[in-house]
Amino acid sequence: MNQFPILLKREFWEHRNTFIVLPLVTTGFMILMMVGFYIAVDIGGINADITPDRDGSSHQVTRNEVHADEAFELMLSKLASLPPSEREHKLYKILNGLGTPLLVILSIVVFFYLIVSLYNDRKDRSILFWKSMPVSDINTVAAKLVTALLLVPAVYLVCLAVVQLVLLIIASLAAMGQDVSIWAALWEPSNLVGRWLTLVVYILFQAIWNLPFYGWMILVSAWANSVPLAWIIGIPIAFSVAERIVSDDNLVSAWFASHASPIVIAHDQELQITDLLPRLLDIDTLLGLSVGLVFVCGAIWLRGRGDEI
Amino acid sequence: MSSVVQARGMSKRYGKFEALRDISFDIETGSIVGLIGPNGAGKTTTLKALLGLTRFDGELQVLGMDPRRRRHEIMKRVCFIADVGVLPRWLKVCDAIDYVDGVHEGFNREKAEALLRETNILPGQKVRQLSKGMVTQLHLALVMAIEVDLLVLDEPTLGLDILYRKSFYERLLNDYFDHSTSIIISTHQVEEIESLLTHLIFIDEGRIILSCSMDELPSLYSEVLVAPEDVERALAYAPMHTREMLGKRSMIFENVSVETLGHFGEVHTPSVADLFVAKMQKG
Repeated sequence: MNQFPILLKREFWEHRNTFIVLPLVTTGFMILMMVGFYIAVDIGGINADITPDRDGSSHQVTRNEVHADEAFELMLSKLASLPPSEREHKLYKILNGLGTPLLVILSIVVFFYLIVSLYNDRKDRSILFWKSMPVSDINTVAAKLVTALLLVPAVYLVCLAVVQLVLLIIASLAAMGQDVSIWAALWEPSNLVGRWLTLVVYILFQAIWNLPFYGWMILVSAWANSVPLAWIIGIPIAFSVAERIVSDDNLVSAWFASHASPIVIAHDQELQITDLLPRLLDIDTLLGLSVGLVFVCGAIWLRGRGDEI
Repeated sequence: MSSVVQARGMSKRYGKFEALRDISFDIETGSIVGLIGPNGAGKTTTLKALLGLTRFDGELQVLGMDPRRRRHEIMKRVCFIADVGVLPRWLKVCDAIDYVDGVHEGFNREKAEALLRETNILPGQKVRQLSKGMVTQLHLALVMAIEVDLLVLDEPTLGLDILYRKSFYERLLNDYFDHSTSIIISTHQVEEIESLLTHLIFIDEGRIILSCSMDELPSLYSEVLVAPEDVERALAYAPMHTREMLGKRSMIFENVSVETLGHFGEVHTPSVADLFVAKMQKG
């Protein structure tokens, strides 16, 4: 019997608000803002500061002169006038910026989920119910990790994709019937599908990269009898202080801190699959993976001994 | 007869407190065992040990398996209801059914739904919206829809009113129990379950102070209402417990023959509650 689907569902029942409602509300809010902006531009006009075109002729546009369709046309024509690489970069920045709120909320949600993942049911005694079911401790912990590392990010990524799509659709609608190729100026350089694929790879890689920290959180969640958050943060801080005193260095703490943060892609700001893949097999990543797995095994072991608190 | 549970020399400490002190007992297939003791005697610890929900020292076999290592396998054939409130408050009734259906091979969904239809519980309600009694009804409905070899009940009716308590045990006996199932019930309200039991285990301060079948009870313990003029003579047989009753003296004897006691008055078997009090005060 494959218990896994229902174990994952269970997590979404418990954390419905942060896993489903919050991203939907955020997405809805962002779409409303974009539509609102469009309407505001359409009604009130915009004080668009249009810099000289490439042919040198200058549009000086002042407030209330340009309405939405014209404003977007101007923006598009400006985009279209940029060299392709710059155009792509500009769109990348816009679309990426649009995704940032969702990605920040995602990391906060996952953080707080992992803190309580093996703690809450010990606190409210429902562990006695969960453990009276024929579910192994390995499956219990694995379901929580899969939820935190894959499923919740997937939900937020879908929302992010929707927001980006809506932005491009609004921009296209606004510019329709104008003398600009919407495809060439907007859709093609946006490379949405490529970006989404990159993000999926990024999320998967991030899951591996951050496993030491995620594993640490779930371990403390299984172990702490009170305030797991304090232990999760306190122990590494205490360790880092001790490390500095003993060795005048902070090799281990710095390493751990780097695995508690998003992975840094050094030489380029723009995220590329080709930059990610080589990092997947380097020593640092593999070491992180091993340490993370040790923590996860510890969490499974503690869960087996775990009791109500 | 085969045993579902064999415990040998089980001990458990919480820091300095000894919750279980070297206890050993068997539970036979098809029996209904009452685990009876005052609060803090070690009842819950014993039951949790059976289910692999707590660590302990000593030997324990449940259905031939060690619960410390094979909890999730044991749980395929064992069900557990703790005193009210172990269902998480955020869980919806219909989700609870989906969950058990999704993880338990032996779960009969139709049966659970049918049982719930007889209650006032609605599928869309969350546990936090249910009264204590309803939460127990929900848990019972989930558990009664699973065919198991051993059912473990830890103070299942604690905090429930008398109506729920009565129907809880009636349900249990009529709808659930057959002779291939064993049930172990812990309680400190002895009267409620006395008539159900086939076996008794008294536990106090982490020790088993009595373990016998209900059938053995009459041959082991006798209660006599002794008239004042006979009290002196009766006391010579060392009653384990005496108390004043309607101007006479009620005495409980252990291992004294009925013929001997017959001289003092009518001999009968003490109730489990009286026997419990006698055992406790003697110990």
